[in-house]
Amino acid sequence: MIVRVQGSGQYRLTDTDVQALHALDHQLVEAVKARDEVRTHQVLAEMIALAQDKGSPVGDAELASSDTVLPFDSISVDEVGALLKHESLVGSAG
Amino acid sequence: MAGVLGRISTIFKAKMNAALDAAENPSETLDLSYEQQVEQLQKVRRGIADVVTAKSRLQLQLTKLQQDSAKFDNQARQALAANREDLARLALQRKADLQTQLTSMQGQVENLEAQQQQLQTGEQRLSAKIEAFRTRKETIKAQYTAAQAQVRISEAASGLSEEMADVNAAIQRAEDKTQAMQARANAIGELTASGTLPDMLVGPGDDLQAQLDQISAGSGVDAELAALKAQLGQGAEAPKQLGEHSGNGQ
Repeated sequence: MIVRVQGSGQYRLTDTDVQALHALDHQLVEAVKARDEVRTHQVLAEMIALAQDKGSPVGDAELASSDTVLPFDSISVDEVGALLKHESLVGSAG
Repeated sequence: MAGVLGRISTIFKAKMNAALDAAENPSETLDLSYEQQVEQLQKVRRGIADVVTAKSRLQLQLTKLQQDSAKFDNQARQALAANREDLARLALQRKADLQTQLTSMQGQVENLEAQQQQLQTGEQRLSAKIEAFRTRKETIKAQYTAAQAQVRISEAASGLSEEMADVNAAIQRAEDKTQAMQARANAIGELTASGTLPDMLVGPGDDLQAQLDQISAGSGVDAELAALKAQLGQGAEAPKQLGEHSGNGQ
């Protein structure tokens, strides 16, 4: 599975690592719901580190779409909240 | 899955599909879409150059603010010379506040530096992928029928436009951040220039510098008065005589 880390490229991950990523994703949602800025960045940093450390970078000559995307590490709780809440973001684009 | 990953990926893909609609006709469209990507790469490079320029401007602005804090030092000195410790304290407080703001902003400029580095790496990656696309399109044209080519082109174009979208999003983010910091630096600059950081105001119309000016103007008048008295031959005793006189009258 290919994961893009916004701003830093694509990484190819094994299924096990993807599962770990999804587990962290649940924690991220909880942190965002609690509007916990510190925790949000902590979890997001863990997710990004997981993708970058465990995954192998997709080569420059390879032109592949990502299966999933990790947001910028500098993203704020408000911004993530907007991604989760505003159905219109997806609705209008699709 | 309803997590952040799922949501942001959906948004990303929706944008991607919109971008892909342009690349439907195989062979003929291939060259055109390559040209468009090269054009977009130019825009990306300009965008990054703009971010770099804005960052340098911001650094200059911060350096100037740093120099401005010397102004508060002078005010404190002036106030102490006039025996106004309260005002000196106020001036030093302002300086400390300015320093706090500056330190936090300098940290942000350093982040911006890292972001800029990432943008440049991203631009190189994009550039390499566009080159890969150029090679790929020649292979596709040579080896596949129109129908087969369609699928291959879709895959390649989708991967490339995702890379493009990512770099553009990163540039946008850096631009937003730079602008926000610029606005903050301007606001601090204005406050420092007028000498009125709001939470430390003595009161309306009762600004620190105004008070200090008044004090120094006052001491100027005293000095001139003394000089005049000396000219008229009234020494230091003059006021004393007056005092004695009024004392006698009682």
